[in-house]
Amino acid sequence: MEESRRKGKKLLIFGFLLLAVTLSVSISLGGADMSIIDSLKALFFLGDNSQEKIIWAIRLPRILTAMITGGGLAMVGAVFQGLFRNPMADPFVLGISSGAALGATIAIVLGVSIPIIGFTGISIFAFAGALLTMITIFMIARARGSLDSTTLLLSGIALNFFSSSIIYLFMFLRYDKMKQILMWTFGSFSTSSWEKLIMIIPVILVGMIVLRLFARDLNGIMTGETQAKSFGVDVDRARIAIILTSTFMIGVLVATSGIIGFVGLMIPHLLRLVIGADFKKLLPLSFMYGSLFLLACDTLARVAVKPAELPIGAITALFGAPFFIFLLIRKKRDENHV
Amino acid sequence: MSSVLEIKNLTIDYNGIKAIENLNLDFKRGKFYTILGPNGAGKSTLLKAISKNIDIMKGSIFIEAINIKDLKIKNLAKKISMVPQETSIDFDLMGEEIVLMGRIPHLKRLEKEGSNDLSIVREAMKKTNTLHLRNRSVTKMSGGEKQRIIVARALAQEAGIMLLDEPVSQLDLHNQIEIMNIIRNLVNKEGLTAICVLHDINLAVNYSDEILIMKSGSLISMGKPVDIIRQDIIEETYGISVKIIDNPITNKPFIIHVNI
Repeated sequence: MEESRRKGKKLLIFGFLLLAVTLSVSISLGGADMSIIDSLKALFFLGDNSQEKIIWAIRLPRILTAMITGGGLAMVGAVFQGLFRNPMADPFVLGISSGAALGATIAIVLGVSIPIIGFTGISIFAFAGALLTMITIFMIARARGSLDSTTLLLSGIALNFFSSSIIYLFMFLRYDKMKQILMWTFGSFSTSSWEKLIMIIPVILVGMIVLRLFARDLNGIMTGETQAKSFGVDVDRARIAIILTSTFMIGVLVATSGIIGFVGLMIPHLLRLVIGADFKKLLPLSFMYGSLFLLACDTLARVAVKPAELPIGAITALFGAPFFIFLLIRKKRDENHV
Repeated sequence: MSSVLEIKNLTIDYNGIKAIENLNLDFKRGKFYTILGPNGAGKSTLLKAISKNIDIMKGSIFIEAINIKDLKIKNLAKKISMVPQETSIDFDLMGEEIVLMGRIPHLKRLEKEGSNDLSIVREAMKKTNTLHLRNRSVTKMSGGEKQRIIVARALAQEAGIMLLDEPVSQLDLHNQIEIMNIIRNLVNKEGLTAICVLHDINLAVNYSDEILIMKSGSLISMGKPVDIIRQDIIEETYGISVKIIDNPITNKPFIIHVNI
């Protein structure tokens, strides 16, 4: 355990360094190229006025949104894997992101724009869509008596299809809203702004704290729910707190930036290979490396085919889908060994 | 002798079928109890009821004179630990991390494990011969190693009662004996009360102070192995023909199944 703690510390320091480098590069790249030095100067109000404007009004909110989204998705992915006791669980794979996007689509089509306690109608609907999908998964689990990989993946596929087909129907029926809806299904940070950031930061921050509070419970649940209960984990209470928190996080993230898949699958998995499965270490590191990964992907999306932009969800899927197949093969092989 | 666990008029309904009917039991401190009986006798249901994993329809269960209904999950875990038949974990949790989970009932939500907790964990691992598995991932442990880690975790809870639900039925003979020896030792040396569901009657005879035989949700018989393991009781309970001989080494009853 001391060893994995040391590795965790090393990963944290390494992550900070890598983040500093990626940030500096990312902030200097874009429509108007500037040197890293110039962009850092502009960041601290020491440079050219027009460069300051680009950095502060356009690039910084986008970079921060990508980072918070990546961190939040990776954390929720890690939590889902523990909660479902399955290394392949992830809000995208389970269809929860699609459910949230469906909620967002309905809000767009209905033109719901009344904000409730600071959240836009789109966020509230996205949360409701995510929550309904989550409840459906648990109902399937209860009906089948267990939540093995096959059940989990098949119900994820079914729910994904269901939500996507309704989204496509809406797009077909409402050409005028098509572009706006399409943005949700592919994911994009191009409309990031400080206003949106101010909405997601508190949700993700509170979410991080709550999930961290339940890290020990999650460790227990990973070994089986009945067992966790036998050594004092209040599983029912923990599960409700964790589901509500992470679903709300997903709802808000999808409402701001659309469906971005596989971050929650890849990042926690790779981290576990190094530091093990203990949630106390896994959660903060997932946030850090999720941020880093999505920032790198979004930078690529911004600059790869300038002046056009690639959809971020397509880029993460490009990495994620092969990784998912790798996990599937490895899992099958392990099962055959036992 | 003081009773640690009392079951009074317990009735449990399981999907419309009476899994346990009007059961009365009394367990004393520091003894090894084994529950035998055919499938569907209500053995596991009884353990589930004691560990609050199933709703009680009628009757009540008292631990050290406290109704378990009034015990929070955390406080129940200070009094009762549990070893299941099998544990499957898909994640790289280290041996020590799993045993440390046994300290959860004694810790506040944000309280860090102290040196006292770590030494209790160390002691539990020593007693179960698992110290060398401290830094090994549970995914790389054999069935026997994993089960010893789970026993160590149960031990780290420092609960007076340990429930074991067919703890050895997935293990080879060597590991079966090792687990049973560990439990027997804990009963002898530390005054643990073990309540264990088994299928192997001869194993039960060798390790138990008292045997309970259940069938169709009721207690058929309870007492010392010599008094309980009789041809008529076993044949009646399991519906097979058996011969019972004196084990020449232990002088305890030894059961031989006869196929007809």
